[in-house]
Amino acid sequence: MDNETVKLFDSELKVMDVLWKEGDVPAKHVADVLTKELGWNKNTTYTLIKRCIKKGAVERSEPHFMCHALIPKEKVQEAETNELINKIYDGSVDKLFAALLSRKKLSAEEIEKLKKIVADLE
Amino acid sequence: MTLLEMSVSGAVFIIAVVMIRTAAINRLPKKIFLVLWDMVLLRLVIPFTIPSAFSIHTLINHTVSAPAVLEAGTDHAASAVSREHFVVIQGMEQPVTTVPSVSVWFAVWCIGMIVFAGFFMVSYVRCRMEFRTALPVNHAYAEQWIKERPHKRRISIKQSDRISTPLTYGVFHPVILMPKQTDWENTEQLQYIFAHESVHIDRFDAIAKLIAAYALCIHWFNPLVWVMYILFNRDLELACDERVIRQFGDKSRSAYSFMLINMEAKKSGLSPLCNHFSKNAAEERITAIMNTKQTTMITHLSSCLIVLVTAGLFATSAMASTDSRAGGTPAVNDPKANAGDTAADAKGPVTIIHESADILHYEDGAPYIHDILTNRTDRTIVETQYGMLAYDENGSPLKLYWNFLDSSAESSFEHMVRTKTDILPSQTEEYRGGWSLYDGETMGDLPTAPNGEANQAAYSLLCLKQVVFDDGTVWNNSDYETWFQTYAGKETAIDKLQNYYPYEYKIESFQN
Repeated sequence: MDNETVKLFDSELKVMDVLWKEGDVPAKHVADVLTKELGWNKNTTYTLIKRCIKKGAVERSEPHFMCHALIPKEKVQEAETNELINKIYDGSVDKLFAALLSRKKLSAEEIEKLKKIVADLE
Repeated sequence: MTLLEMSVSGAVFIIAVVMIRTAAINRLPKKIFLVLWDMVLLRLVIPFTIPSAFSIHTLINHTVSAPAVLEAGTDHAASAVSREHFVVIQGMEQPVTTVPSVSVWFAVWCIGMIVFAGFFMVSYVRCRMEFRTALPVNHAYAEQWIKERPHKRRISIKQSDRISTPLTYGVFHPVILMPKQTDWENTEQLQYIFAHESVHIDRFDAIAKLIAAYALCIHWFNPLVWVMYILFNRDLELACDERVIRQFGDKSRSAYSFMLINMEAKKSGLSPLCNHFSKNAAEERITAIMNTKQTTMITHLSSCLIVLVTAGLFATSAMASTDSRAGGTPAVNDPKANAGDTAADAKGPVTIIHESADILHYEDGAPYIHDILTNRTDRTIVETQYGMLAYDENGSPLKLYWNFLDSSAESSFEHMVRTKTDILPSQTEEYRGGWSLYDGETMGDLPTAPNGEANQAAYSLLCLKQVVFDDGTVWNNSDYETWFQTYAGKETAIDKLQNYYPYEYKIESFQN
């Protein structure tokens, strides 16, 4: 863990921010802060805390589900845009099957071709 | 209307829309494809029938839809009907002849539907869970845009690093979700994106997509419904693009296209992998945008015409073929069509038809009578009472132990049965088992009446005595006695037996 950086998404970073700012606090406190700040449902925050635990960024201890940041801010790298949702679901269920049938990405040539279509039809 | 019938007529409709779409996608307003797809969805999801003399199903009366459905239904059900099932029913002295509700195909269909519905629901819930972690947006332009647009529903704009193209979710409180890399200074691009997403919101496209997914789940076995699903989702976008271009004027076309292309480029990271599906979809979309024109009176009129004609042809179902005669097509299936003056009035006669009554055999050789009724009335038949007679191959009447499980029963020429059924208007019954006849040799394991003559039965004549409809009305056959006197216990010529069916009952009046 020491030499590795952990990749976290923006939403998970919000959880870490609270821990970095306030030190070890109970999960309930993290949820309260984020509800105030972002309007999140407390279950959303708990889900994100669990993900941070799974990634090794947070450690929990009892009682009161105390959360402790395992890694300093500098060791965290923001995750690159992850295409997971987009690739499979395109954010919704609509292109689910389109994704199953084929990959969604366009090649450089195809993008050039599209630009040419625009120029031609202009 | 059965699911299979819905699927078949939906498929025909889909083929028509795909053909119109292929021929004229850039010549017609995209909105009309949405209207057409909506009608397809209604056709697929709701088991209604709108009889129309101009329906494609009337024109090709029963050559495409009905026999295909009927055969398929017969195959499936026949293998699943066990003789035991039927005998048990008869043993209960309640001769209700129904298709067993659980067949192998029904089970397969159920499993498929559950798998697809589960797949959709899991992905939907997972996405919604993920979207909850989206972060609020505090950019001036976004806030101003929301203020300027008085929507009935509260719209919010959020951002997430888990997506790479903008999207909208939520029906009651729609959220426009922007990718993290959004350039919040590029207000020209933002106004297009917001305009596009707000068209989705205004048109309740989220609900349309859910209905399409629902249709796909029930018709998962129908490849054309998959085609519909994919094209419908594409056309939702095309119609949306079109509306935005109309809103911003023709000059916005190339800027809007470039915005889409750039977003596509950003997303793909210039991947070398290509695919034909999305390549075609992207090209189709860009070409459609560049070809968007302001609508003229002519496009409006032709659009309306296309929708009306397509709907008239494909969204409707066949009229009873008596009516199709009025439409000029020969009524192939209409029995006694040449009988003369019977079908004079414009609406055609109200009839019930005994299409056939065959002596069939179960797998173990046990014989049974299987009859098929067609309902050409405007109400659903729920109960029938009819008399049965049987003849040997020489036309001699047979005295049978019709109720062979009852050892005290006497043998008789005729047997009267009352049975529950469910035949919709203009529906022809599907395979549903039949009345088992005693066969001394092959039914050895059952308690039976004295040996009868069932195994000599070659012809069977059936005549309805009374029919009860779903609205509580009843039709009594005033000719029943005459029929009984004519045939019961009488030697009858073979050709008369062979040409007895189809036997048409004219319904003069319904009684309460």
